[in-house]
Amino acid sequence: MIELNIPPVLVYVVGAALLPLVGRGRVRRWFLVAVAVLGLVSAFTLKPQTSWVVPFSGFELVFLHADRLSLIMGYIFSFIGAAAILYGLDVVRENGEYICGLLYLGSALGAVFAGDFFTLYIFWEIMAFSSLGLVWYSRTERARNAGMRYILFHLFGGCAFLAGIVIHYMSTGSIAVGPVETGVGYFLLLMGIGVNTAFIPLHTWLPDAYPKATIAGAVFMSVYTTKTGVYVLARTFPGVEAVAYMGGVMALYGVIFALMQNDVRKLLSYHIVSQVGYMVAGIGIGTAIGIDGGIAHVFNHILYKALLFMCMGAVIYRTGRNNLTDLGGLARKMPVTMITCVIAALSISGVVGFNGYISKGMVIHAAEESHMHLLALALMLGSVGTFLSFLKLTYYTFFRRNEGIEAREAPLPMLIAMSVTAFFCVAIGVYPKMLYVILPYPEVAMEYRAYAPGHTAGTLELLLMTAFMFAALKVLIAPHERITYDIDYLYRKAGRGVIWFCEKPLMAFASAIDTDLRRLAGSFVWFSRNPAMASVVLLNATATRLGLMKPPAHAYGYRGEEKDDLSWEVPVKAIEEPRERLSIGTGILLVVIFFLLYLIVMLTHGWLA
Amino acid sequence: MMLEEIPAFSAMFGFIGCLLIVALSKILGRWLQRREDYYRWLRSGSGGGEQG
Repeated sequence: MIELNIPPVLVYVVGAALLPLVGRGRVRRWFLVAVAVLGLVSAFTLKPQTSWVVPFSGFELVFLHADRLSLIMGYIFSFIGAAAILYGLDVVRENGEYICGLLYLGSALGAVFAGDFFTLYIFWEIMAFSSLGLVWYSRTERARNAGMRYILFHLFGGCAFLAGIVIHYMSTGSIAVGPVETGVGYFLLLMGIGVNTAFIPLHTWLPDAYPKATIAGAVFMSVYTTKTGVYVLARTFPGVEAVAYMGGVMALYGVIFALMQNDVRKLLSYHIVSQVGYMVAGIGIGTAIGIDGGIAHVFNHILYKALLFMCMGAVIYRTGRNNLTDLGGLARKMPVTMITCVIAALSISGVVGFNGYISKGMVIHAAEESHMHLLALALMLGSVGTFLSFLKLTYYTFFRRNEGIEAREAPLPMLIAMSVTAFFCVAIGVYPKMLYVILPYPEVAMEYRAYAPGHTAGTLELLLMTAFMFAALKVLIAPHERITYDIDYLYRKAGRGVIWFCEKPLMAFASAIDTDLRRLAGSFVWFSRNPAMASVVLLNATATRLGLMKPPAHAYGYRGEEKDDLSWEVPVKAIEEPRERLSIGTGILLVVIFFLLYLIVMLTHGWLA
Repeated sequence: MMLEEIPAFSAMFGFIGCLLIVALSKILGRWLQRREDYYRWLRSGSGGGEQG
C-alpha cells in the first residue's frame, strides 16, 4: 500500500502548477485523473499525526495536523474533489478554470489540516480568491458583478477573521487552532467564520455568486467554502448556544427563500444555507452526539449537494436553460441524470434509506436530548420545506410536460461522476455504520439507532404528508419568472450610499483640505526663504492690521517706483517675495540644529528606548 | 415527554408545517419578488433608482 504522508494540499497545488505544461486533449485528461487519484491516496492514507511543522519568525506553523475531525473532512473533500475533476473533463475548456478549481480544493484541504490559525488564515484567503476565479470564468457581465460582490464579502470576512486571530494571539500567546475565550476577538472570529458559513444575514454572497459560476465551478463551490467554515466552527466554537439557534434560523430561512426561486442553481444555493444550518446547529449543541451529527451531515451533504449541482449543471449544459419555468420533460431525454437527481433529492430531504436521513435525524435527536425543543421543531420544519422544494425541483425539471425542449444525455465523464456519488448517497443511507466509524466520537455515533422503528415511521409519516401537501398546494408554489430579493437589497442600497458619500461629501471635504494645505505649504515655503525678514514683514503686517502702526512708507519687497497711494495691498504684495534669501548652507545649518535638539530631547527622555 | 410519542404527531406536523412554509413564502414573495431584470433596470436610471 502506498503511503504519501504529505499534506494533500501539495498534490493539488503541484497539479495546478503543472497543468499548463501538459497541453490539451487526452494527455490533459489523464493528467487530471492522475491528480485526482493521487489526491485521494494522499488523503485516505493519512494517519493521525502532527507533522510538517515549519518555524516562521518565532511561530511554529503546522501544515499537517491530522486527528479524527480533520481526517473525515479530508476524506470527503478529496473524494468529492475527484468527482468534480472528473465531472469537468468535458465542460471545462480553459486551463485557468481547472487551476482555480485545484487551488480551491487544495487550499480547502490545507485549511482542514492546518494546525495553527495563521496557516488556516492563509488557506482561507487562497480559497476565497481561487473560488472567485470559478465565478469569473463564466465570462458574463452578471458573473463579473456577482464575483465582485462575492470577493468583497470574503475580504470583509477575512479581515474580521485575521483581526480575531491577532487578538486571540495577543491575549493567549498561542496560535494553535482551538476554542477562543470571549471578548472582541471572539466576536470578530465568529463573524469571520460566519461569512464563510453563511450566517444570516451574512449569507447573501452565496445565492448571489453560486448560480453565476461555471457549470463545473459551481460543483466545486457548493462543497468547500461553507464546509470549511463549519469545520473551523467545530474547532473554535463548539457548544455555543447562540450558534445552535443561528443554525435553526438558517435552516428555516434558506428553505423559505428556496421555495421562491426560479433559477435552479439559486434554489440549490438557498438549500446550502438551509442545510449548513443543520450542521451549525449540531456544532452549536456541542454534545458528542451533536458534533457527530453536524459532521456526519457535512459528509452527507457534500455528497448529495455536489450531486445536485452536477445534475443541474448537466441540465444547463445540455439545454442552455436555468429557470424552472423553461424546463420540464427531461425525464425521458436525460434518464441517468434524472435518476441520480432523484436520489440526491431524496437524500437531501432525509427520506428513509438515503444518507440525509441518518445525519439529519442525529442532529434533531441531539437537539431533543439537550432539551432544545424549539430548535428541534425548527429543524423538523426545515426538513418539511426541503422536501417540498425538491419535489418542486424534480417535478418542474424532469416530469412536467414540455414538448418544446431539446436535450440529450450528459457526456460520459459527467455521468460517471454523478453515478458514483449517487451510489455513496444510497450506500451510506443503507449502511450508516460505514460513516459512523469515522466520526469524531464513534462510540456515541454507534449507539445512535438511525433506524429505530418509531423514528422511521415518524419520518415516513411526515414525508408522506408533505408529498400529499405538495400535490394539493402545487399551484401556490409554482415557479414564476421573478427574482426575489433578499437582504442583499439593503447591502446594495448601502453600497450605493457609500459611493455617494465618497463622491459628494468626502470629495468636497478632501478638496477643501487640499486647498488649505496648499496655501499653508505655500506660506511655509515663503517663510523659509528668509525667516528673519519674513517675520519682520509678518509682524509689520499684523501690527498694521491691528491699527498699532501706520502702513510703512516703503513696504518691504515693494519692487518698483514710488507710489503715493500706498494701500493695504502693498504689504500683501510684499509677502509674496522677500528680497533677501537665506543661503542653502544656512538652511542646512538650521536643519542640523533642529535634529541635534531633537536628538538631545530624545536621548534625555528615552524616547524609542 | 418526547414529541414523537403523541399519536400521528408527525403527520399533523407535516400538514401544519407545509401550510406554514407555503404561506410564509407566499407572503414574503409578494413583498420581495420583482421582475427578472430588476437590478439592471434599477441601475439603468429612471430617477436614481429609488423606486424599490
